[in-house]
Amino acid sequence: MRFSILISPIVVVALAFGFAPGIAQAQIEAEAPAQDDPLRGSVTDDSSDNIITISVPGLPTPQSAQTPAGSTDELGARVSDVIVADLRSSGLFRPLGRNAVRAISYDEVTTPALSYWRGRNNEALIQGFVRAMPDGRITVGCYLYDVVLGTELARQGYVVEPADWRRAAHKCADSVYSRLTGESPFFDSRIAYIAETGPKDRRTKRLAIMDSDGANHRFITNGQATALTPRFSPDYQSIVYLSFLNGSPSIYIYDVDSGRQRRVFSTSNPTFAPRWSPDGHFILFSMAVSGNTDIYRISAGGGEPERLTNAPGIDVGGSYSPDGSKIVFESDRSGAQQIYVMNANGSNQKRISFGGGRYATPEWSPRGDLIAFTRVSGDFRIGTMTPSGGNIRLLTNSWQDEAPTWAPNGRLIQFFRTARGSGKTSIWQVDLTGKNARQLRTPVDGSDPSWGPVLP
Amino acid sequence: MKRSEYIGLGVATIGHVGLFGVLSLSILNTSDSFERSEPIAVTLSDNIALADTSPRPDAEPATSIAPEIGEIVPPPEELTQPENTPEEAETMPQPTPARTSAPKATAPAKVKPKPKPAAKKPPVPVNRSGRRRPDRRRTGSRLGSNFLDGVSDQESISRDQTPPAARAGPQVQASLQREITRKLKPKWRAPTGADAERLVTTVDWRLDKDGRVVGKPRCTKQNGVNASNRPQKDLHCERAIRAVLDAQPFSSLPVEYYDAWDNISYDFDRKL
Repeated sequence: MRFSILISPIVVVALAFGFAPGIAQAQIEAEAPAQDDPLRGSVTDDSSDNIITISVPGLPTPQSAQTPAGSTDELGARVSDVIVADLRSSGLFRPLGRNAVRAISYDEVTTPALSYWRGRNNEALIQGFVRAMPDGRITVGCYLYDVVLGTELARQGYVVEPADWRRAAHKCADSVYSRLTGESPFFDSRIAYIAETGPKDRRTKRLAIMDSDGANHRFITNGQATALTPRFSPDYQSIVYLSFLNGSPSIYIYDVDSGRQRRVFSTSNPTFAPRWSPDGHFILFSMAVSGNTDIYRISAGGGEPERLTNAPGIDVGGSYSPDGSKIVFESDRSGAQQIYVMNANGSNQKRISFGGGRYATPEWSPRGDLIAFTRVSGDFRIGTMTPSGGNIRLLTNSWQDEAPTWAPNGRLIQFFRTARGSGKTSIWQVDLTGKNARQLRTPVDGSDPSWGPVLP
Repeated sequence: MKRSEYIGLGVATIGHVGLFGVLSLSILNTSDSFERSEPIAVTLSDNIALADTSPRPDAEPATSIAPEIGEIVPPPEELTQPENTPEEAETMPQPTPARTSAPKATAPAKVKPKPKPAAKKPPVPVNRSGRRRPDRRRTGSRLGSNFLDGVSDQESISRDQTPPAARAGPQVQASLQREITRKLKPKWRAPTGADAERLVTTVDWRLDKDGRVVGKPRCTKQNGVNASNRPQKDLHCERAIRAVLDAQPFSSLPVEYYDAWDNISYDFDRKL
C-alpha cells in the first residue's frame, strides 16, 4: 500500500512537468552568450562571373638596347601583349593591355601610382621591365600589385636569352595566374597534336608541336604516314605516338632534339594508345593478339612488354594516376565501353563508371582528384568524375567532342571537336567549371591534343 | 494481502486511471484549438532573446537632475499651510539689504501681509534663508546656485528614461548583420574552380568605434575542403580577408551598439 501511494505523486509530478525543468535548464546554458561573443553572420558571393580586372601596361626599359630579338623597348611591349593574351585565355581575367591603359616609366615599376590605378576600376596591376644584360641576355622583371589594398602580391625576375622572351612572359603570366587563382601555373608548357589537312576521306595527319598559346608552331612528321595520339614525355625530350608507317599501327618514340624515331616494340601485332608513366620510365600501350586486346607496359628504353590485363574484349587507353600507383583504362568486357581502375601491376581491376551511355578515353588529372573521359551517348561529350566514379559532370555540349587531355595544373581540359558534316576538326579547351570553352588557333585543323607538363 | 493493502491498491489504480483521463482530455482540448497559420517571412538570428534586453536600447540618457536633500524637509502639512502671499512678502526684503534703493521699492509690499499668517511664521524658521522658497517644495540641493549657469533653455533632447540595454536585442543584431553583409557583399569575390562553391571560410575581426578594422582579420575555420578544391583553400581565406579590409570602414554601424559589433565573425561562401 505504501508503495502504491508513494509512486503516484512522483508520476503526477513527472507528467505535469514533462521534464520541462531539465530542458529549460539546458537551453539557458546553451544560449547564455559569453561576454565577448562575436556578432555572427554570413555573406554569399552569388555573382555570375568572378572575372578579375587587371591592368597590364607595357614593360618599360631603363635604357633601350638592341638584342637579337629586337630592342628592349619592343620586347617590353610584346611581353606585356603575351601576358595579356595568356591571362585572357584562362577565362578568369579581364586584362587591360597597353592599348587600354597609360604607359609607365621605369621608376614607377617598383613604386606604382596606386591612387591612379585604383580609380581605373581594376583590382590588380602587373608592372615590369625589360633590361639588357652585359652578357647578351635580358632580365624580365614582373611585379603584381593588389590595387585595392595597395600591397605587392608577387615579384619575379627572369634572366633569359633574348630569343626566349616569350617564355619569360609566360612565366610572368604564370606567377600572376597562380597567385590570383590559387591554381598551379600552366602557361609555360607545350602541346603536341595531330595537324590534319586534305579532303574528308583522305586526310593527311601530321604530328605537330606548339607552345600552350599556339606560338612556336612546328610540324614534326611530313605526313607520308598517318600519325595519331601523340604524348609528350614528362621531360619534353621525346614524343610517343602511333604511326601507320607500313599500313599497320605501331608505336614510335620521336626524339625532339635529334629528330630521329624508333619503334618501341617490334611485333607484327597492331599496337596503339601509348601513354607515358609519370616518371617517364614506362610506356603503357595496347596490343591486339589474336583478337584479344590487352594493356601492356614496357620500359621506355625497350625490352619485353609486361601484360597487365587479360580479360576477353578490348582493354585500351591506360592512363597513370599522378603518383604512378594506379591505372585507369577503358574496357568493353561488360558489353559496352566502360571505365575501370586497377593497380599499376594489373591487380584489383574495378569498374567505376555506371551512368547511362558508354565511357571512353579516360585521362587521370595531374592533380589526381579527377578523371576526364568522353561520354558516348548519341553525341560525344567531355566530362569528369572522381577516381571512385562519383560526381559525374559533363563539361561540353556539342556534336562530337573527344580525347580529353589535362592542362598541367589540372584546371583546364583540352579536347578536339569534329564539325558535323564537313568533318573538320579543331582543338578546344574548357575550364573545369564548364565555362570559358574556347578554340585554340592552329595553322590547320587539329585533333588528338596532348598537353605536356610545365617547363622547368 | 491485507484488506488495507487492497484498498490502497484500489485507490492508487483509480487515481492513475483518473489522472490518465484528465491528461487525455487536456491533450484533446489543445489539439482542437490548433490552427494552421499562414507562412511568414523569417529572419534567422543566432541569438534569441533569452538575454535581458531593453525595448529601447538606444535611449538617450535623461538630463541629469541635482540630487535633493530630503531629511531637513519639514512635514508636508506645515509646508502647505502657509499662504503664498505673506511668505513672498517676508522673503523679498531679505536678499536685498545691501542695496539701498531696494527697501523703498519693496516697502509697499509690507502692507500686504495679513496678521493671521504672520503669527504662524515662528514654527518655520528655516524660511528665513533667502535660497529657500517655501512656495516651492521645501527641498535642498547639494549643487551650488550657479548649477544651471551656461545651460541653454532649449528643450532637453532626452526622449526616454529607459536605461540603455547591456546587450543589443535580436532585432538590433539582425539589423547589424544586414548592414555588415551589405557592406561586404560587393567586395567578396570567391575564387572559382571545381567544387570551390563548397568552401566556407569563417573570418574573425575586431572593429574600433569608427568602424575600422583593428589588427588583421583571421580565418578561424574552413569547411567543405576536398581534393578538388584544396588549391583554392588558402586563396578563399585570403580573399575573404581582403573583402573585410576593402569594405572598411563600417562607419554606418551605430556607435551606441558598439558592444554588439566590436567583435565580428562572418562566414564567406559562394553560390553558383
